[in-house]
Amino acid sequence: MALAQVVYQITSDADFASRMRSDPERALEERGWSLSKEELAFLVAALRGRVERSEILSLVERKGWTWR
Amino acid sequence: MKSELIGSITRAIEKAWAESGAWGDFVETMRQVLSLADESEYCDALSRWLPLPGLCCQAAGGNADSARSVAAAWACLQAAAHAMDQVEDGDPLDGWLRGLEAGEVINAANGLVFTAALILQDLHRDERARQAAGDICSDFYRSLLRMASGQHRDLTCEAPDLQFWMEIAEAKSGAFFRLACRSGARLGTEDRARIEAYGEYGHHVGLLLQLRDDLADMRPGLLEGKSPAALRRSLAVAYAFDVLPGPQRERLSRALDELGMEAMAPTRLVEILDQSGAGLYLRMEIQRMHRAGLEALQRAAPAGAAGDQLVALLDQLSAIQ
Repeated sequence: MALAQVVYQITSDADFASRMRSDPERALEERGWSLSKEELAFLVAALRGRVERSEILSLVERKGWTWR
Repeated sequence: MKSELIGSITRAIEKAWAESGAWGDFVETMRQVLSLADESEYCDALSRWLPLPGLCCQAAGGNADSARSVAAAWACLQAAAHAMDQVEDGDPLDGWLRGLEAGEVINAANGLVFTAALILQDLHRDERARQAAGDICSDFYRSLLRMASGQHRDLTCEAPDLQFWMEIAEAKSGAFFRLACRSGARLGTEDRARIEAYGEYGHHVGLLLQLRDDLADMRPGLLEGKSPAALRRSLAVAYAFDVLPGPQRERLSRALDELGMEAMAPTRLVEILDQSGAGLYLRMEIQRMHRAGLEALQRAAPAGAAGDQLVALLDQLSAIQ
């Protein structure tokens, strides 16, 4: 799954993350990866947003609807 | 309005039981499994989603009241699936099921499936719903078989990955909410494309709910009690297993196995998930599902306030900011 690979690369490779901030299309092309326009827009917006202390805990702690 | 809906759903179910000849003690057990009178978080969630068939019916141009039988049948099936899941997965039973043996839970859940089938028969007698009754009944039974297939795969797969999460979420939660929205819409319109679009909206509601349920399992204090097998089936863990290189994957595996046995294991698990980028990935998926749900709703061309409520449900479910 391309999105998962790209997200992992952003998290584990600071150079790639920086390239994704400045020129995301080029950064993906160099790796031979492609994302939909929509996925790319979400990702770029997220990269410019605030970085949480723990992304997982911030999602877990957020009040939201669940089924159980 | 919500409690009025629960009241009318409860009456439809009680009527089906009264007319069926089922014995009182069995009815009492089915009532316990159905748990509509319970004040639990689950019951609260159930009552939040029960208006879906009526809202889709209304948004498609019909009268929300004509979807009450569909909502009642859907409530029975949800309670049955929820109870059977707990027994089949070997999870501790919910509070309102305590005191029941596994066999009793399964038998009552089967009773609820047949109750749903009986209630759906009422559609054939309702003038407003007669034309759609055949389509809706077929849709219910096909969806049930699809959900059971998903559960079978879920029970028999030993190494779930990202693709697996998507397949199972689509076959279980996705199919179940697709059913609620498509059957409701079918009562409001005969336009196949619009009915499918409502189904698509429901499908994304179901996926979002599954994702949020996965996150709820990771709440501090709950994580320790979860089985490694159940957590491996969550989207965050499936993602991390997919992307992490060998040694880190082994660390993740160890952290899962040590949950409940080693005090620092939950902290370590969250750390590994964070380092893998799982949080960012989940946020991307939530946004993708939200957008897809809205696009489906746009294609469904919902009318009036019911359409606005469907958008609000999706927004609330996707709220991550």
